[in-house]
Amino acid sequence: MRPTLLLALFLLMGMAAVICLKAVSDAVFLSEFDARLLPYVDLVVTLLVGVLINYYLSWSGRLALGSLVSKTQTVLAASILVLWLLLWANFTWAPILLYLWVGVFAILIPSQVWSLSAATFTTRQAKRLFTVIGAGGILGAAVGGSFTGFFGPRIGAASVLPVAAGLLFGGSWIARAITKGKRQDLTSPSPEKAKAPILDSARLVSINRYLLLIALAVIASTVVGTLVKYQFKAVAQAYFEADRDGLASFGGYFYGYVSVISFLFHATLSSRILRWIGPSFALFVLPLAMLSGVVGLLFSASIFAAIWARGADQGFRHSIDRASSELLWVPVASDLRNRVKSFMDIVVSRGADGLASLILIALLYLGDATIQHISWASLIFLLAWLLVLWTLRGEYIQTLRTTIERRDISAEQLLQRLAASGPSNELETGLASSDAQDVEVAVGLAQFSNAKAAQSQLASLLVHESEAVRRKAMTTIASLQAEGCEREVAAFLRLETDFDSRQRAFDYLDLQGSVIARETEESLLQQPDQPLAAMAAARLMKRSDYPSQADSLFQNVVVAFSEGGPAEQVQAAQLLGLAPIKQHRSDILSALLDSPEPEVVRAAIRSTGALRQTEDLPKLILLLSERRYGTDTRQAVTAYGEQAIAALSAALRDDSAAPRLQRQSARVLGSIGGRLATQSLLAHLRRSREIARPDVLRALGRIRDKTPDHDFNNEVVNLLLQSVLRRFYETVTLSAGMRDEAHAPAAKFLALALRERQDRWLNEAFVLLGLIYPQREMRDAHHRIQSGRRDLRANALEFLDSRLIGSDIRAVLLPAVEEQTNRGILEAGKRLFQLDPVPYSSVLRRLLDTSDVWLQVCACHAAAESRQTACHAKITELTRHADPLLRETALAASARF
Amino acid sequence: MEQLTTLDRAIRLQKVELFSDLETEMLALLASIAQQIDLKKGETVVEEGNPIPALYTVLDGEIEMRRGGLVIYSIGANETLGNWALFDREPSVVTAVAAQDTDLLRIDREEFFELLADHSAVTRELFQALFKRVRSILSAGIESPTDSATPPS
Repeated sequence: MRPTLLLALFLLMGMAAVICLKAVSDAVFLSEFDARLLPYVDLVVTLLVGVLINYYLSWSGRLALGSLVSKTQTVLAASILVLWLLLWANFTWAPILLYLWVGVFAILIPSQVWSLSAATFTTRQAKRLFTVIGAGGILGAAVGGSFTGFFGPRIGAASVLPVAAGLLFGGSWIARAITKGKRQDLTSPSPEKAKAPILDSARLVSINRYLLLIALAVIASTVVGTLVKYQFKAVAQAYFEADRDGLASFGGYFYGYVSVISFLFHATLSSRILRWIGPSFALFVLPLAMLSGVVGLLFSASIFAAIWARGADQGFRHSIDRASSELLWVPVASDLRNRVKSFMDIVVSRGADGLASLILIALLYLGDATIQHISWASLIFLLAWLLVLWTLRGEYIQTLRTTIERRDISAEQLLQRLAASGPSNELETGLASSDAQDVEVAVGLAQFSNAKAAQSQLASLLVHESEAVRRKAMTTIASLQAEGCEREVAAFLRLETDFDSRQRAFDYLDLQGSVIARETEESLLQQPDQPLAAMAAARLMKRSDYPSQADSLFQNVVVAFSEGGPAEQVQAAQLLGLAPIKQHRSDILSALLDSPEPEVVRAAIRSTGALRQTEDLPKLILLLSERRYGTDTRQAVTAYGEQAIAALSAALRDDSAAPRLQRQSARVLGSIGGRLATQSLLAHLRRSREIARPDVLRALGRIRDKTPDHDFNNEVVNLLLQSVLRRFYETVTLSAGMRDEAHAPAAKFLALALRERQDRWLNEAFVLLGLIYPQREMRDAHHRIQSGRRDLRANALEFLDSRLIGSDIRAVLLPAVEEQTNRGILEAGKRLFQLDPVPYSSVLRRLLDTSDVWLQVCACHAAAESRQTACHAKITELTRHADPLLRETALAASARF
Repeated sequence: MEQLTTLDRAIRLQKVELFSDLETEMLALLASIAQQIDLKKGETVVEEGNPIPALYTVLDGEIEMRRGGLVIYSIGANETLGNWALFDREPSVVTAVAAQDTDLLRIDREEFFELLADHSAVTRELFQALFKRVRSILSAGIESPTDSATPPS
């Protein structure tokens, strides 16, 4: 709270100083010179800004933000005192110097306060606190105006200057107090130095889409504000027919009332609006309000339309619009922000002022425009402003997204970099090495290299004396689809004994053209190596006009091998998966699936997956429950595709099925994907069964990964999300009832189990969110929320808050992830689901009644530990439960009673 | 000592450094393969030069580690013998003998790997715990390279 109040006070003092300085500089200048000089002096101010800002930006690059703010405020305060002395000494140029000084530097004062605020708070804190700081600014403007109005005539306008200087000295002290012992970016200078800071800042803005959009919004907003200000003054002048007293009185009342309304609006609504719709939507309040005024002026140049348009501008610009605009800067990297924000606040907004003046000159002096005509110009800029804000809205979320993104590098990318990083001849040297291990490593790298010379060396390695080198070379040639290796591949086939490597070689030959492949396959039919000959026969049998000897050769080998020892049976099973299906061979395969030899079964499973015979599916599904065949069976069943979904869904639904079968079924459904698999997986989640739940969620995530456009039925997912989050709050509420009991071992263990369940529900919520929103975004957000870095956590929360606007889940999820104390979550649980903490005995009774077997187990143990007799009946009932662990624990607990 | 239930064993295993970060449900899985052993004073758990076939956690009592007949160090309740034996088959450098009547939990290596194969989540968490431990050993070495190594737990 301390930095918030200090920054609010800082802005109050800064704005009060700015208003005092503006009033005094205007008064002093106009008392000495003709008002007609003002446009020229303003032009000089604009030029001076262009020159001096360069020095300021250069200076700011050498200092840490905290030090920069503190020193700038001191220098400004000291220079005001010097100007005051010059005025006091009646120095001729003093009024002009003061006017120029205020014109150039006054805008810097509030800008620095906001920069400091953006660097002090995280995104989430800023969203809550910027309205408080903004209120300081509004009050400061009111105080500064009132003070100058009251004391100016009494003590002399120039005598107000030391007061403004005092306020700036105060600001310097506050800046030091805020940054004392704070974060690195507040206390360390930027590591990069630019030779031409203004050009460097302009370049940074131009290449960053987000900053460019902010700049365009600033330009549109400033131009519209200036045009409306002119319209207001012109209408008021016409209305009061140049009655100076009437105008002064009207102006006084108008700005007075608008300030009061603005402050009240800001104090009561700004923060709520920001929380409700976020800064990217809150930015629309000002342009939409002004749009109504500008449209009013378009139809009638009445004083009421002018009051409405200008009132909207003054009322919202310094309240919700300022707070929202400043919030846009918080997710920008601190270094970039430090280098660009001052440029944006001073150069861009000043430039936009100049642009508005040029437009007015062109319309009034060249086009003889009326108030309505100026409204058309305002309208054009307003629509452009709204368009920019709409684009900026998405970009704000994208910028937050970028700050929380985790960049992974795949093993393949890493190997590609490794292959590219070595000297160009290193790979060739490795491939030609006499050491088989060196060659093997080089072959592995060649897969990720684009070096053509290295690829050409691979073919010769297909007949290398080392089996490992030969196989790796074949894998690499196949993956690179290297051309012109047919002869070496045919030789490789004769040397090779491994089934998969041979398959790879045959596939390679097929890719090189059917003629070459067929010639090789026919020549291999004569091979004494029977499995190789049978493989060639099987491949020939896939062609329409295959030689009849292929069929008989294949049948003979398969039958003979299926009756041999385990090694032969493995080969028979492998061969069966190669050829088009024939009934009698299917019987052999089915018999091999029942083999007592795991290797035979494994090979048969793979072939069954390749053949996809419906009658083999039930057997495969049952094999899913056997751990040793896990991967092979999953792949085989996955190969059946949609054909397997009904059987897998039934296994997942079957409460009496082995947990492993249920888990594997979920995994296979995830691999198959599609509408039916998704329906089955979501149905499992809706049944609130604990078994296989993590696997089901992973499977859904996998489907989402593979098919990002798949429709998961948002209505169902939303219902699941509500249910999962409700369980999260229920678990926290139950944990609260254990607070005083968590010292005994079993109670402590139960408390830990509940804590794990809390984490699980949140984890599930993010997986489910990933089915509605981009999965990667939700994973990153969850990861960053769990991270120890408060800035990343805040950005992730703000990202979620903005991303979920319009979703019912937003209100339920955010307290669960944002509240860092159980108390906050408990309050949210009470508000959202009417959940109240209950005493320990009730916690145990509720857990014993839950469908979550693990929590029942822990509750049984804890109930026995603390002799909760009220739980005895339920525990006795659980001694007959189907789950062996729960049964065992309940029996032990019952005995303790 | 009376026979512990699976949940009791899980609670005891939680105190083993290697398993301290495992989720409670996974501790119960480990507990389901942990056997409770009662040793009489003087009984040998592991012979010097022989591979250690299991991880042992002392529930109650004391185990002395001897080399060449000399007691090098001893372990007591909730301390473990053979943490690394689960992952390698190197012969033991000490002989472990019960210094008094001692109760142990034994997790057999083969059963342990069967469990890991069935439950990838246990494997993941265990690897995290192991890497955490290796990192802390490495950083301790970097911070005080002259410190002598602490006896293995």
